[in-house]
Amino acid sequence: MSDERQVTHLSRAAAHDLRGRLNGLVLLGALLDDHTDPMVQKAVEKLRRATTELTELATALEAAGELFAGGAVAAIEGATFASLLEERSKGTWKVTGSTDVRLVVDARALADALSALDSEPREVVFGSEGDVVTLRVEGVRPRLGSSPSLRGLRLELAAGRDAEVVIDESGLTVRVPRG
Amino acid sequence: MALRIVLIDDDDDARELLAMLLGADGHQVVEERDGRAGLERVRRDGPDVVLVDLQLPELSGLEVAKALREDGSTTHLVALTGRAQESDRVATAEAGFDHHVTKPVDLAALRAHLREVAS
Repeated sequence: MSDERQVTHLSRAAAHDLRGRLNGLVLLGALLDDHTDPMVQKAVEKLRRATTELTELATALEAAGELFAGGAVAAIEGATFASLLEERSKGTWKVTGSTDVRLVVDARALADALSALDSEPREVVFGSEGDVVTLRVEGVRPRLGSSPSLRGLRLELAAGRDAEVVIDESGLTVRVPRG
Repeated sequence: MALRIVLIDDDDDARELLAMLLGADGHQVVEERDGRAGLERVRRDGPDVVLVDLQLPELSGLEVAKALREDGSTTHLVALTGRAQESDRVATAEAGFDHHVTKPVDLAALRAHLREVAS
């Protein structure tokens, strides 16, 4: 098995195991959800937050597997990507800048990763720099206590091997190749 | 409407918790922890719904589904799995599953699906 196929295989296997172990924790949270004791409710809330983030990690591992599975990533029109982003986010994004560009990216994975961001306002600004298309999201509040954060990792993986993800104090920039 | 459900999963903790939750919803849930015992149970009891993990001892969830469909069973089959790829969904559909649920289980969505089946 080639190194790349090995990465794909291991990533998928790890995600599968993680999802399996998370399943019991999520069901435990559901079982405790009816208890009115404030301490139990607090614990359920923390459990839910942890399981949500770990589910994101499983998704990131799957994205890693896909990334190394090979196959060409298709180019997508900026306007189509913007529509996809709104569709996947249930219409909560404002899109500005020129969408008259083509970007080479796993569009669905990146749209889902952007949708998962904790940002306000939810506005993405399209731009371009030479052979690169930029997507700028102001006000992203990623958890950057460690690098990469789960969300940062998910974005990196979603955007693809040739992409660059920069998160600074004011927000996030994703740079992907122009198609 | 209460459903008769067979739940097949070798993860004892998750299986017991899901059985408790669905039981609290009024369904009759029977648990099995491997594919062969689960298949025999379904053949014997003829439940309304079978919830099946895919990675099981003895027989895989896919093998259980294929065997039931070869029997001519029309029981509603739901795959419960940590496999979330599109190719996994295709595999479960081809094996005869009616529905694919990715772990961790979204209980509200599963309950809604079971309500649909019951109606």
